[in-house]
Amino acid sequence: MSISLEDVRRAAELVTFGLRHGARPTDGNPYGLLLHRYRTEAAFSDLVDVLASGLGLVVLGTPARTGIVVTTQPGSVFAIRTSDLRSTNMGPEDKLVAGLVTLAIAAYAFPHPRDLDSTDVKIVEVVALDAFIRSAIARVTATTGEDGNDAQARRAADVYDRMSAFLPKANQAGPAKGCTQWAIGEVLGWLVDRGAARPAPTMGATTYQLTDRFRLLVADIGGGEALEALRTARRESETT
Amino acid sequence: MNEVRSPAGDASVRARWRALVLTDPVARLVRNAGHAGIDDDVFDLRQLALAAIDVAVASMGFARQITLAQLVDTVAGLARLMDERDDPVAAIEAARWVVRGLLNDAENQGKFVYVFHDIRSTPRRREEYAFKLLSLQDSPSGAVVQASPQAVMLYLNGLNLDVDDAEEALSVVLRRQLEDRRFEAAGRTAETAERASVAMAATLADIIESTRRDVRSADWLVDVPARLARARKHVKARIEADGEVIGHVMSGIDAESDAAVRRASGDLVETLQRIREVHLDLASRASGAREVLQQAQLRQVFSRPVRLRLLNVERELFEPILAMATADAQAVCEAFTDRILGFRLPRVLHLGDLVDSLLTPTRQVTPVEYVPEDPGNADEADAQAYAPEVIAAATKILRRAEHAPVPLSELVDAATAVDPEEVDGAVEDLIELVTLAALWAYAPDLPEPGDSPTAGIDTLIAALTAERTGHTIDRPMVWGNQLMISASGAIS
Repeated sequence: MSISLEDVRRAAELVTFGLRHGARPTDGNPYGLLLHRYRTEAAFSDLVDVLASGLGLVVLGTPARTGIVVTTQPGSVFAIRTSDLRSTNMGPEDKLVAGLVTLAIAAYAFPHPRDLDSTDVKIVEVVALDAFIRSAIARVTATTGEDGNDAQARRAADVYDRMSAFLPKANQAGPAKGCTQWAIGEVLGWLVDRGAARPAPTMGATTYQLTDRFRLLVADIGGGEALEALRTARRESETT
Repeated sequence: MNEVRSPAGDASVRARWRALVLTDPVARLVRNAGHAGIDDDVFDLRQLALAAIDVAVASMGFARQITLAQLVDTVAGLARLMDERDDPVAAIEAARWVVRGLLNDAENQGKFVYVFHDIRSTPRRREEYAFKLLSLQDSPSGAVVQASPQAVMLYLNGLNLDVDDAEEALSVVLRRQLEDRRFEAAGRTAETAERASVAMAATLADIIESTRRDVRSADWLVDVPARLARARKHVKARIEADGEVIGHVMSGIDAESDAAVRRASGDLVETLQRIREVHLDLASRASGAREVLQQAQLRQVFSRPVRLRLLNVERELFEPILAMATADAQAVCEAFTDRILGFRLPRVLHLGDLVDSLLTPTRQVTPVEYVPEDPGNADEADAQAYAPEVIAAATKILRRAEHAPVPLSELVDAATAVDPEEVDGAVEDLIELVTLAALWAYAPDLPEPGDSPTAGIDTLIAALTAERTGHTIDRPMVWGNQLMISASGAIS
């Protein structure tokens, strides 16, 4: 099949749909038609993949209900970093806590490796997540012992553990900034903004539903890169 | 002592044990309800659980699948009918508890796992039996609820029955009851038969859905074609029988003189017509199944193979990172979080739009009626004032300009790096105060006579001057023209 300029335009349109978190494919809408074409025409799907790659994007998958899921290549103009998010003045410890919470959400949602290959989605709740993280910290502390007063050697677990689970707001309900429940709510808010979670108010005010996009991001990209970073950090600590 | 064993019992013990454990999740959620403040005396949680499964199975079979929110609302509606107080909050709590219990929320919404001790095998062994009752799938309208095959089994009174055999048996019973003119009993049998058809359709829907996701998930060589053939045969026979029975009962109504029998026959006709709809729907589902397979094959052959990395996030990442030193942990956390966050769309400035927006006349604001503020308790701290420790930290930072001019970016960086404990966590306020001081120094807003003193801020910044350098500053909270700050006198 020869590729026409019109095909290129259609391929770009599909990538654009992937960049819109709110866009949803249905059987008859333009997004759904382009998605169907991506799945049934090898030449078109190659074209979309190549076009996305040129933009610094990677097509992770095309679940029927979610649509095309794209993420960024390192250094892409679309790449977002933790520091670009709405809590702009996060200190190093805040960033660490946010990272731990993101990992904890993945650990909570996918307790077994096979869960990353299942399209079942999970609901998560702020207080339950906090309890999950603190129980993991208790296990780690039981294995490795209490940390000392050396700030250089302070463990990530201790940074989280020393923060209060809940601090009340002055004039309204909900956790105030500076406690772990606020941090968890903030990270879940980021995930909602990125289309990786949805609020599930019917199940409770602080309950969220993770989407299939979150699973693909963890299984396809995030997990691998974090493992690589973990190995690098271990190698470096062994050599020093 | 002689061993007393029943060979028949031994042969079926595993199946009966499985049927028994399928009801345990419901028993468990009832048992633990007290800990969650749900009153089991007020709400019949077992019935609510059965209703939740009924609704999920029925929606899987014949209509748009029910969402989690709709399921909770439906169960809460039923719960309200059980509560004489008619308390909507308690009803929704009960509904949430039931749905969470069926999702196995206590164990991360994983499978329910039970261990069967096979004492008859040599050597003796333990077998895990894991199942879900309800699970969630992502959809454009939110999470939709999917019932597992085990939930379908539970729906059929928790018995490990072959759905098709049950249907056939019920069909025979129904005919016999009609011949015996026992119309009320026939009505009850017809309703049971309807549930069997719903379950058959739900099983079919489950196969079709899993085929859509992955063509390898169902055996389309032997098992599924056999099921479809059975479904088609069943539907053909049932639709014919439905018409025959409806005709038979309706002719009986016309000739019947007993009012009670006429009423029971009328109800039966309604039930049978509803069942007929169910069978017609099942027919269309069975006829469209093959097409679903072909489309899924076509799609999945061409789709990019997903290179999922199946790792144990908790054991391989989360726990090792918790035990790492903070600096190392931060690098790994950032690598993970940066990838999970996906992408952002860079905004490109369009000159035409900029000119248009600059030329747009100022929006006329309707004057708002002034309502004097309640002065409140004078002893309370001013909510808008900066805390004394913030002012002290800002003074310390601004003092850097006493001896030589300092760029604003350096002052902002110094404010960002302040230990949060020093300013009671108000680092944002500190950055804001330093920035405002610089801006005030650049364009002073002289106080009007009668203005109240502002907690020493005027004194703090009166000694500062600021000039534009021609460069820019770009920090998360501060961006725009770079300013060079210098002090014309000592900062007090």
